[in-house]
Amino acid sequence: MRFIPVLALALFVAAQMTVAAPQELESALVEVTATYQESDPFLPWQQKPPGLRRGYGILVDNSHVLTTENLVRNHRLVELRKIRTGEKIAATVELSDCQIDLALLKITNDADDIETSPVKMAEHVASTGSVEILQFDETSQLQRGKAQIVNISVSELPTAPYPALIFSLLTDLNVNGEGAIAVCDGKIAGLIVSYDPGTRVGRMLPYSMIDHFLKDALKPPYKGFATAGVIWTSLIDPVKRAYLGVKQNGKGILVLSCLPGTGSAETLKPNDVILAWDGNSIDNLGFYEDPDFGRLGFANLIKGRREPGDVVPLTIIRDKVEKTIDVRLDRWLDSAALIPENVTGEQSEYLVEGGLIIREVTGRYLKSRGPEWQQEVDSRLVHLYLTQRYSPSQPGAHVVILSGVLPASINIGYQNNQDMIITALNGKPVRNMTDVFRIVDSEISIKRVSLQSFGVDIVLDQSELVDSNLKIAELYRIPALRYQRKLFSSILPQSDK
Amino acid sequence: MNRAKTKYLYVALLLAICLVVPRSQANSLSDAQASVVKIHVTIQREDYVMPWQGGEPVGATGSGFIISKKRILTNAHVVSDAKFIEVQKFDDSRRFKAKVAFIGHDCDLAVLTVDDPDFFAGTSPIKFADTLPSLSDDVTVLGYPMGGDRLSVTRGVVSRIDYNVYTHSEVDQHLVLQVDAAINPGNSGGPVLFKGKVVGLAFQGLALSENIGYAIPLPVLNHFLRDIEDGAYNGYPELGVSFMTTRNIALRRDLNLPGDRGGIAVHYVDPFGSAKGYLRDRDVLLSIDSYPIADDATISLDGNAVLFAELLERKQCGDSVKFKVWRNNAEIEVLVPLINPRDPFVYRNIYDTRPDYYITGGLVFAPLTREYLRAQHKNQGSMNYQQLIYYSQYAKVDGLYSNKDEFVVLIARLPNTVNTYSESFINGIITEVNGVAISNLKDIKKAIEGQKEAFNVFRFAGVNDLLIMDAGNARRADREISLQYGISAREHFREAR
Repeated sequence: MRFIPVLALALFVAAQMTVAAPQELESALVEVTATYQESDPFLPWQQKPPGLRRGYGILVDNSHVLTTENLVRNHRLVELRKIRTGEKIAATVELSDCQIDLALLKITNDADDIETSPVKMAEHVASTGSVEILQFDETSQLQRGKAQIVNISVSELPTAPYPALIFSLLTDLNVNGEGAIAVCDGKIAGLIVSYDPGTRVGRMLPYSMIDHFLKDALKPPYKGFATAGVIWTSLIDPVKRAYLGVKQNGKGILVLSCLPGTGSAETLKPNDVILAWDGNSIDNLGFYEDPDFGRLGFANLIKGRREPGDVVPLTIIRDKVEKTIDVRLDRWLDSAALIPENVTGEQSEYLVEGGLIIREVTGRYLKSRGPEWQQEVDSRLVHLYLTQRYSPSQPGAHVVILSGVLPASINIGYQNNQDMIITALNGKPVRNMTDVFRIVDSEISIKRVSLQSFGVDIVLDQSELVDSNLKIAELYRIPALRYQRKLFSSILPQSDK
Repeated sequence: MNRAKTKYLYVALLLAICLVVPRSQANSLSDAQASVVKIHVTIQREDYVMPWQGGEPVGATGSGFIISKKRILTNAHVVSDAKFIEVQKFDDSRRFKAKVAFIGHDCDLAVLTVDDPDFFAGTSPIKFADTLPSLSDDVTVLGYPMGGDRLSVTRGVVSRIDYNVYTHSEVDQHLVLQVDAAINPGNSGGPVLFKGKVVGLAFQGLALSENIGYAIPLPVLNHFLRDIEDGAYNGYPELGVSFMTTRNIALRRDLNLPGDRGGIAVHYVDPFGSAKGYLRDRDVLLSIDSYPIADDATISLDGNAVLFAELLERKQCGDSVKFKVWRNNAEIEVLVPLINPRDPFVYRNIYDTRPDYYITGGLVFAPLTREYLRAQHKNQGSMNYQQLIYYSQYAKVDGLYSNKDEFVVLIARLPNTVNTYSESFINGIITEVNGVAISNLKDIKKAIEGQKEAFNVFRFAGVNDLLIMDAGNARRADREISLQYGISAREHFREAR
């Protein structure tokens, strides 16, 4: 979920103290090379040209490497290389989670197992301290550089719209790949997830988040990170505070809505004012005082300090009365949204029938029209995305559209239809692609497509359909006229966004 | 809405250019050119961002020509929002004050009269042709375009006769005569002659193109002049149906439509159109006034295939149109009485009308208009702006207009301590004020003035957050805000609503 970004701008005074990285940390650093390939957002059966990403990972035991999710996103091949060597070691992605931008790789061949002593995770890094960043130079030698912590905040990950505890570092080193490790006192302080050479500021995912991920990932089943599912806003306006009966000065945020299906939706209500979360007082901008890192957005109390399934106590004001309630935390998956974001660019499910391309709307699909996508895309879909994307009317509902038509004689007269919302197929209501596949499987084919606010159904000539599908597949070179994700894949961690 | 941006209107800004133009040779055009007048206007457009004040007055010139009954025919856009109009005859230095007698914004035509009888002394009305010229016929354009003060004559041929959007309203489509004679700013309102008789009235061009000039053709001129014969302009009737071709065999079978060609299927009936209550979804229109309608929506008229709408173009409000309709497996006849509904959700350009607004506590409310959307174009990335676009495009199709006379928007905040925290609500559509559902601007005033409680509570479409205002403070601040920002009146409502 996306929190309203209120960034704390705190500048910390420089400190000194760097200890050279010990030998075991040096030998644990590996280069990760990933060949990736994304599917085309419009023609989901097509692939974009493959590309190469290069970054780093860290050996966490003899056969596992920790790296960033973004580095191995849509990977086709992942290879590792040790320091001062040229040999490539094949690896697979065992688990990746874009909600925290971390991935766990497994070395494929047992013979390639690497002797290593386990790395240690830092327990504390002074918020005004400095760290050392380790990476390879062009000759695969270790390169190290000092970095000063300048800011600690809960902010959106650089590669996905999820909040996380992030350290900003000012460094002299020209960071040459994500996943470069930051060390402090001979222990892992964090992984670099992005670097801007213009400002020389790198962003680091700190040890606490990494530790959380590793402990979870190495002990399946993976539980992931918790979210509260609360859409909220700051509560500064004294008039609104008086209207809501909030007397506590400077405290409290306003609940606007809760994501359907989450624990918060069961106990929180719109217009509740949250004064305290899990024992921490929340100010009117949504910050709390963290004992380790100072003033932080309260999302850290959920993602950084809790797990899915935990129940936390809240102090709220509801109808001007202060009370205490419990909220169950959940892991919120992108697929639960009415319009999933699909930041990881997972191949979209689709069905091509009689040249009609049927699929679900995702944020990625809409935004692939370019920076001006809000003007390019039909205003109805833009409006749905901007105002209702998190809130399906019923669990599992998505927006199924006729995204376009591949012209052929069977679809004459329908070819101008684009980005229109499908309400029913063969007269049966459609809420998501699962419905689409169920209908086409049980009724052999699509006979009739009903579109929103369009008084005439699109009808396909059944006598021509089978032949036409074959011809369209050949003519437009579509290797498969449908792509349906395997049913169980939705519970596997890999598929999770 | 976007398409119209590429066109521009030919009103030349008044330029102080004193070029001596050689006197034209007397020729067969001399009769006609004596009837062509130059129109000097001062235009003041309304300010839809600060509606309590007018925009900057600007001078402009256009052309017109004398018709029967001592009248002058010109473009509506030449004299729209005009505060002062003067006309000047060919080779006559005197200017005479003129006024608008009739104006048709949907067809961009206006009739002017001059009180001083001296003006028409010695003039004779221009002659109208009986029929339109054919393609490649030579035509002459007379007028007072930019580049000189005196009459200009350009020649060319008829390049095309087609339907096009009239830029003046940005919504209406009528027949258009396309010529390759030069038509430039200032030509607007001048006659297009074929063999010395009027076949059109020059009115718009196409940006980024050469040798494309557009004129309003004879049938549209005649339609307008016939319409005003009863002393009032009623405008073109609106049928109000959207349709699709019936070329698809499977669709024809689904509609049980006999034969394999012909007819168009209605997929949407506009709630404000003439067809409402007469035609329905899935009706197939087979003929119009006994002209068979082909499946591409054309009819054969005088040997030409033209859109069936051309037949509607010839009708006046109060006339009827007879359709042969295929409905429920039978052919029936449907007589549709034609009306011109005052449809508030069609978002034409507005002229000669003071904008409505209402200010309370420094919050400025106004109905959604095309003018306002245009003024806010710079904010197109914002969620609220996108919502306005969606509401303006889908008001009727998605039923957003139900229980609404208009959409009322919070268009601005005049900053004052009473409204400090209202910025994020700007461009929001008001749904409720103090528990009262808002269907028009006046409802807001009623809800505010009727409030007995301490707070004014505003709710907006698509937003869960509330705008809360201290009712007493807002009332007290009204005067101060008016003084602060120079607001002469805190409200304006049109008389008849």
